[in-house]
Amino acid sequence: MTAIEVIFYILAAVAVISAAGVVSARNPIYSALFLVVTLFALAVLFVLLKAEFLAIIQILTYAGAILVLFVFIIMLLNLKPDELIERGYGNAMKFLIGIASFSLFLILGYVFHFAKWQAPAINPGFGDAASVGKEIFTRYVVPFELAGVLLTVALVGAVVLAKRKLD
Amino acid sequence: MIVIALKILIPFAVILQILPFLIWLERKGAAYIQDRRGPNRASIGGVRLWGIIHSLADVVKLINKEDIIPTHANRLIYTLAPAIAMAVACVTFAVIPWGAPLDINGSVFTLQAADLNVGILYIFSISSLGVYGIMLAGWGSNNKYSLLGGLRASAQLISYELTLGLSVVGVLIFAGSLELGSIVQNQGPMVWHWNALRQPVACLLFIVAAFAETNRLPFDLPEAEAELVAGYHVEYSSLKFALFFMAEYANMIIASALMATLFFGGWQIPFVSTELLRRHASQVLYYGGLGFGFFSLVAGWLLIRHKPKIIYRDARDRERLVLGMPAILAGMVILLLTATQGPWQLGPNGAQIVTAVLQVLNFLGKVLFFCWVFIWVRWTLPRFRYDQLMNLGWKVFLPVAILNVIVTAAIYLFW
Repeated sequence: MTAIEVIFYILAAVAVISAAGVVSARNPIYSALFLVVTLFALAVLFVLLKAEFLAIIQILTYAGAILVLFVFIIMLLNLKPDELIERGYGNAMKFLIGIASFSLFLILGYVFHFAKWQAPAINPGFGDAASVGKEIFTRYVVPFELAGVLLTVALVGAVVLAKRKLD
Repeated sequence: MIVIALKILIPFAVILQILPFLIWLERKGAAYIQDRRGPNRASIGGVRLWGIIHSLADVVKLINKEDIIPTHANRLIYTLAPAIAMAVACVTFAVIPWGAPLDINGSVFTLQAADLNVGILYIFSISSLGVYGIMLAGWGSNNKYSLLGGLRASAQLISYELTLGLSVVGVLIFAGSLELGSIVQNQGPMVWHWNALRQPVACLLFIVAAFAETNRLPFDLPEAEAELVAGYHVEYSSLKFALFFMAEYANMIIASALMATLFFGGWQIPFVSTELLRRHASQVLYYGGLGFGFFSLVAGWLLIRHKPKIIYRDARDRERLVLGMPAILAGMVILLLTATQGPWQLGPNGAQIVTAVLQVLNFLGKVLFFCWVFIWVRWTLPRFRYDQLMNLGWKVFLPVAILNVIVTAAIYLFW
């Protein structure tokens, strides 16, 4: 059991437990904080896969900006756990959903266990800012620009929706 | 392994020792700017040491206060918030280069705890996590004013993070790398290559955004005493408040270290390159030792030469002796040692160690200078109103930062 394997198992456990915490926490702020922990664990897993730039960008934007926005909104909405109305499923429905998720888990486990993984050889500059930047601006420039347009549209939409009506 | 542990512990310990000194500097500096004397009463055995003992008294007071958790406050989040703030402030020191890389017996030691190849982005991402400390503190205190202060503070922080990041892009264009070590080495020892002169607009933007990021005046409305009753840390007492307090000063030290590293040459001694220093290390040590011994002697003599005026009739009259006598003694010892032992023959390892020590001291001097600038500006300028602050951040700084990036890229490409 090499050091990297130990680190991987610990981080994977942390990520899975926090993800379970996201959906099962009573307090919405706890859910958001569990999500931060999950994203942190995922970022460290990216580092294990030699994608350091991606890991840091994940922490910078996802955990550091997007989730800050989430926590902001949750704080401003001030939901008490009792106010969240639970839409109940009947027992039969819960049983069916359980069977469906478990079979999905079995299928995924079978596929991941018996697939023939081939890790391609990586160049020395893999995961660096330079290589990611090169790919973004040459091969994937159209999705990049489209993502930028999408973000601008969202920004303009937010401003329009939140503007006071001047009348 | 031991080297890594040392590289982690030593900067952490150094920062924790600079903190009480900074608190003293803030209070004395504030006092002298406001034409008064500042704290000069706390003493050990009658010796006052010009008020430094007040920092020790502060620590003892903060530890011994009653530790209150407000009713209906979310205990976990209330306790977690100062821990997040302090942890974030301490972890950022890992990537700051304190000196040039040493090459001892074939193995290279970088004077950084972690030479990440995404160096500067690490600092920005960890600072974004610091927003959580403030937001959770404001919300977890179950107090309307804390919540308002916390939300305001986090909105201010995330607004000025953009300017902070974009103003550094100009520096990155020149350095061609994200690693802080390369950024420092790219600014050579010559002062006209330092990024403050190559990128003046970006330097100014970074300094102002750093003020906003550390919640210092003129951007400190979130913790304004007059408006918001100390904002997001009003409900904190004792050690948790001490953690917030220390986190603010640690953030100040990080911002100063970043300013020195990115724009003012970091550990580079002006006009003295590392090779020059290493070649003449033994002479530097000899003449430096002589000069320092002489300086210490003269300083001690200047402190002692006044006849003690018998005003108080207790230990306070002889206060100047506390620093003066050791200074004279140390000066004599160093002079004797250096003059008699003569210029030492330093091998290549010794030369590198001497160079590293000088560069680390140089870096510390720059960091302390920028901390002094922080304190100086705090007690000089009035506070921004919140809407003026946000207006400035989004409508003035962000366009100027983007324009700076475009102009720098154009100049770099076509020149």
